[in-house]
Amino acid sequence: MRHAMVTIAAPITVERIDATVLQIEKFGNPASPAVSERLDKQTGEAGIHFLSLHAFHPADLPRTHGHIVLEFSADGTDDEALERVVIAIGSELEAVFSTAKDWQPGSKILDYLKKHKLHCGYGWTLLAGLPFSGTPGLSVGRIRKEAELADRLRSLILSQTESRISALQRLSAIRETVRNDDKLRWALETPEPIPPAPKATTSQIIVPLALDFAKTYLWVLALPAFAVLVTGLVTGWSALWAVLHTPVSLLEKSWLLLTAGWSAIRWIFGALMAFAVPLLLVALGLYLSLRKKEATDWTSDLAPERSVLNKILSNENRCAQNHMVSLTVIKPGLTRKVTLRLAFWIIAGLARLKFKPGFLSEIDTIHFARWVQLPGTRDLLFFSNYGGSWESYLEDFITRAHDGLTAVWSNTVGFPRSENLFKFGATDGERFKRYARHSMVPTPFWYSAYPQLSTLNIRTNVVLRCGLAAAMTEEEAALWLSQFGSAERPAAKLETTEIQSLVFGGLGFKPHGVMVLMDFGASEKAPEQTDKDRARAWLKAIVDSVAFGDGRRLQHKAVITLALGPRGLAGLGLPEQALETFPAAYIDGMTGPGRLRLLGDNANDWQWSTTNSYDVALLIYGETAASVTDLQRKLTAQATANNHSIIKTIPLDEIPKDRRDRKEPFGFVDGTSQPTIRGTYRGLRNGDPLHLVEAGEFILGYPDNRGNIPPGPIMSALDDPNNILPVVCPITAGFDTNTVDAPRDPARNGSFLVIRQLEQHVEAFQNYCTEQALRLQGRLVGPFNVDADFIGAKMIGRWPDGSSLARNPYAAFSRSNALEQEVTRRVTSNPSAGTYISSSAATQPKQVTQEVVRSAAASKKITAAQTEEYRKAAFAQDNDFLFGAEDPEGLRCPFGAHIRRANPRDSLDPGSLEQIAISNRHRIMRVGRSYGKSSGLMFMCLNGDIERQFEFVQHTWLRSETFHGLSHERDPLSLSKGDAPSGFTIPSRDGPAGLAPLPNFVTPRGGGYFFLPSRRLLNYLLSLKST
Amino acid sequence: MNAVEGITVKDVETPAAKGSLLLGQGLSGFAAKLGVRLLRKPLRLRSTVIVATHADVTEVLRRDLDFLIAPINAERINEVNGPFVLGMDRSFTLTDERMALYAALAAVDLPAVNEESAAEADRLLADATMEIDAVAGYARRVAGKTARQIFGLHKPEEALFLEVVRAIFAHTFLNVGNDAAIRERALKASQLMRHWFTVEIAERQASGAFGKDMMGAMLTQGAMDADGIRRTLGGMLVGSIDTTASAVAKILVVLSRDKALMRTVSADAQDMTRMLGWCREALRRWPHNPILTRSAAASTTLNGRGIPAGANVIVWTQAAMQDAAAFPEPDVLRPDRSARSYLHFGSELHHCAGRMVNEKQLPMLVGKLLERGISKTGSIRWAGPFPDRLPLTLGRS
Repeated sequence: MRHAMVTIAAPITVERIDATVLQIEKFGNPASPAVSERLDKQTGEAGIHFLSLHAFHPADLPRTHGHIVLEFSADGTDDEALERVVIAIGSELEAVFSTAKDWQPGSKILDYLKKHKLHCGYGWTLLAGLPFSGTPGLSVGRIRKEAELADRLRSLILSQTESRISALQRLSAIRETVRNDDKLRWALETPEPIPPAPKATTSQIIVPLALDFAKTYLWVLALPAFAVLVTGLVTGWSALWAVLHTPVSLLEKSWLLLTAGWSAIRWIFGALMAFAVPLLLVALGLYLSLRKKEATDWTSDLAPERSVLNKILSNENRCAQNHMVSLTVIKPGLTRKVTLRLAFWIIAGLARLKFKPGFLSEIDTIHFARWVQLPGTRDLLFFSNYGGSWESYLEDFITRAHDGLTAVWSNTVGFPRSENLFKFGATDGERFKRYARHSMVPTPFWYSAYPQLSTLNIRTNVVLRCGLAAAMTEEEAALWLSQFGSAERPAAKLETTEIQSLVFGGLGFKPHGVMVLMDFGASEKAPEQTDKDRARAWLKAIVDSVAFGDGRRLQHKAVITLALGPRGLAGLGLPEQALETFPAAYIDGMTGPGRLRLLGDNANDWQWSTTNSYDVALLIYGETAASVTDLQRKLTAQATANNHSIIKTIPLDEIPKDRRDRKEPFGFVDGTSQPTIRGTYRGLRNGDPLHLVEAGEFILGYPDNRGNIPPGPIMSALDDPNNILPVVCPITAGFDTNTVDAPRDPARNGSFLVIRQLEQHVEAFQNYCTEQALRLQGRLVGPFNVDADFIGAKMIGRWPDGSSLARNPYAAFSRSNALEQEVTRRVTSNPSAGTYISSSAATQPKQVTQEVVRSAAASKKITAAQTEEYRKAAFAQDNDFLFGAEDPEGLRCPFGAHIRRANPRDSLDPGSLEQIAISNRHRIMRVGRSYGKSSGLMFMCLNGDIERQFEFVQHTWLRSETFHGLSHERDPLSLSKGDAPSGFTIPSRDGPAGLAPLPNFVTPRGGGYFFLPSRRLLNYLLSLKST
Repeated sequence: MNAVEGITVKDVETPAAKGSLLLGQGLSGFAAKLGVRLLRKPLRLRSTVIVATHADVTEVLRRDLDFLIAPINAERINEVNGPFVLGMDRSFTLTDERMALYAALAAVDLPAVNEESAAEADRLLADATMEIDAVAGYARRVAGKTARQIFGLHKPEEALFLEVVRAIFAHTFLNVGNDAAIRERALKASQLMRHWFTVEIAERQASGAFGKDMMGAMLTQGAMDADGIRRTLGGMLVGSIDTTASAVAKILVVLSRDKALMRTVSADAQDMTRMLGWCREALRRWPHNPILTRSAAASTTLNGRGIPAGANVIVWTQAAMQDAAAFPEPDVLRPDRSARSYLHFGSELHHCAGRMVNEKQLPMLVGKLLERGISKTGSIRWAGPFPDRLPLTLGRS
């Protein structure tokens, strides 16, 4: 629906103006019910959006007459709209306009108004002016209908009582109600589209603007240009004719043609210059003139007259919208006449080519606005129907669209000082507001067709209606629901309720656990023979116990982490084509081609299947051992009932409450405080940039550290007929494009879980450390205290208490003699470094350092309580060191130490942020637990990309014999029985010391690659039915 | 005797016709290549707009609220079969019926259907001695059998069944000029098809044995009434046979014109993934359907070009598939290109649901012929816009 923005101005003698204003005021601001009722009437969906009527005293004095001005915004053509207005309030208008200077008794009001309609624009021959519609394409009828619909939908949504149903089901229920409602059924058909946002490139903006400029302003040169062209053609043709008919040789003729051609080129260039140079000179003159005037023009500091202001204020804020009329005077002279038009030209062009429809730059609160120059005067009127208060409206202009506003209003008398037409001016906020208030005139009569709606309401209602009919997928339905008092989810915002809880941390608050490995059906059966219905029946029985979400508010005392192998996904019905798009590492499994060698595993030691990944790995974690047993029993019963095989059940060790007691079997505190994922509970509270990684590093479907969303598994839309799964392409909030056919992203919000059962030979480790300590006591003298802990710490990179060698080279932090001094030194030198999770304060993180610093600074002494607090904090806090910057030579933490290999940080390029970023591309999220009463570690880690993360770390860093320039050395904890003898170098100021060839401390007994499916994927699998 | 019983093959048969130059591979291929180079922006000719680049084409199809399909073909679809999703724009009805259609299609055991289709192809090839008609004696018959299995119409006599489907297809989707003879044939044919479906659905409902085909799945789901099931199955059926037959004929002709290509493709005859790639590529040179059409819902812009309300937008998919931006080195046939760039079966909201079947059927049909060996490929004989005959001499040359 097109909009008519009509302005009518009729002259009135100054003496009659006040009486006429009084007469107009009778119609009301806001319009009286009687008048509103008539203006409310629609022709079909077409109606009158806004209307106001005024009688203005002349601003540009001295003059003998002012103007009666009627301005309205309506649907349809100008004539249709004008007729509609006259039908509604023709008699009132006649009464007012009959006071005009040129009103002839017997005149017909419609004809009179048509005759006085203003033709504004930015061309030479038009009155200066510019209209703007904030709701393009929307008729009054549509706006009203959609507002009613939105109210009804809102009440329907709020009255829904069902919980835990999908967004699509919620929307379907609403649709069903709407379909059964005769008054609302119309809303199930999609409406006429509103104009799309322009997607023009810079050149696509500049070229049309230039053409428009030429058409609007340079047409005056068309005649001389044509004359020059004709002259040129005639002259050229005559010359050519003469040359061709000259009786000379061919060579001479050719020469003559060449010289004639050269003359023609010079002539064309000259002709172009004849136009271009004067134009450039005019432009330069205009610019210089503008700059001169800008430097000297008077700027107003006048406050608005109190009585006028009070009258304006008495009309404001009566509904969701306000009306503003400003009467200013265009500065005298040709320069301002031209620059005002240029300002309108550029704003109109950008509104057409660049701004979103309905937006004036970034301002989105205007319903309809216009600038109009009154005929025969320099009076410039500004009318605006805007949402919100005048104060917020002006603030929007000051902060978000000051350049355009300055470009126009700086051409009027008294406006704050501007530069180069667009700069400053309105940015001088308070002076600008004073200017605007001073220029305002009270509106005696104002009508709005929908006074309670803001432009945002109107746009939201369009989206609601469109989505009601057009949303087809689960995501689109969720987006539709978010229009009710919420907002669209930003693409990078984690969908935490879709992600299994293990991704957010190791679930240490459920300290008891067991791992269950199972297969659907007999393991020798091929995937296509597994009974998908039975697998889904089992899943349905256990799915409520699967833990989703970030935080500790899990409903059950015991919960499940559900990890599926590739055969498990196939067994539950994931289409084969979709499974094939999962990474090869996952499909082939840990024992796939070449992978045992890559990981340094020995198949003979393996206690898990070396031919297939298990279908399912279940981690059952609970608050108590009994709760774990109960859930395990239930799962086992369901598995048995559905003919599935429990392959292994591996009890996991209880996690001690005190973090300092959480030690792996070799006796080292094994924290999992880093890395942290941006956007998670921990990530939001522990922003240490060294360990903060993007969600995409671990959770599929989100941007990674490099800002890219890695390509993940995809599935054909045909395989998701119920439109449950997320789609790979972005969804637009206006539902103007569909995504129902887009490929699905079945792995979104999932993560790959690597499990390795690592048997640890504790005695061998301890004996070796003791032997090597005795051997090296003479070689490494003070300040080193070479004992078994020292040897262990050198191999691991941390002391048994978890403190780092990088920061504590001579003794464990907890054994330091100078703890108090250390506390004071560290917190004073780096008071804001890191946060920690206090074991005493449950999970509440807090900044440790401020209070300690204050105390230390004030008394030079800290209390025992503070010391203890800091000691606790140190375990979590001692992670912000940099190997390269702090220990580039490896004198503290050897290059071959386990933690330096596992995460070299900046070690390979000391101090380099780029190197830290490179290292962070290979981070893994460890979530393992000890098993078998400290006989080993059930190593578990999460990955977004198994090859880039776990396998890279294992192969390229941990097991590389040449890591960091070392030779014939491997990670002490990753040696395999088949490996060549591995040494270990301990650099010191006194030259390197070496450990004897390392025995095998750790034996992998099994493992596999699994996938943690999202809630949506599980719902999808459960929705499938066998044929 | 009811009205439909008197309708015979002759009443609905699409008559033989000379192939026009426009239908030929050479001219249409040349025009497509030239078109995509020249029309980097939509070309507006009064109330017709032609879009040729891959980006513009996919944008038109994606903006299904701006560029409508109902004004193009709803009238003809409704006339012969009743409302069907391919004639509907996005609305609650479309959402409902589309979901029911896709759910029913997903419930069909397509691997089993494909196996039977392959067996039928084998049988036809085994029966052939040296000569076979790749269209009438092979592809159409296999596609017809596949359609019967999927949609659940086993009783109608084969020749009549094939001609009925073709007659309706010709009018519904191809009769842009509203030719009266084509329309008349389609209306007659639609009576028969309506009758077949109505009887079959009623019989199944009465017996309670719904069956495992698409009809059975829809009856089991209960999302639509009998008329809705008939409309949906009928709508899908009409496009399912001649699309396959046309595609097979065109693929074979493209391959036969380049002996080296034929040899390369023949070497992949048993590799269905690569065969599918080759089929897509061969069709890119000569697609079974070179254009789609949409109507602008309101005045709008596309790639910076203004498009008036009601404009007929010619979506030139053949040209878009020659666009180097989506198909690098478009003149080269590469079977390993990304499947998502092809537009043979449309794209977005009205993407052909039957593509799932055709992506198995086309490589199977072409692969089996190549495996057997083609020593000579004849010329296509046309029936209206459809390839009707394509004689092949089998055996290694």
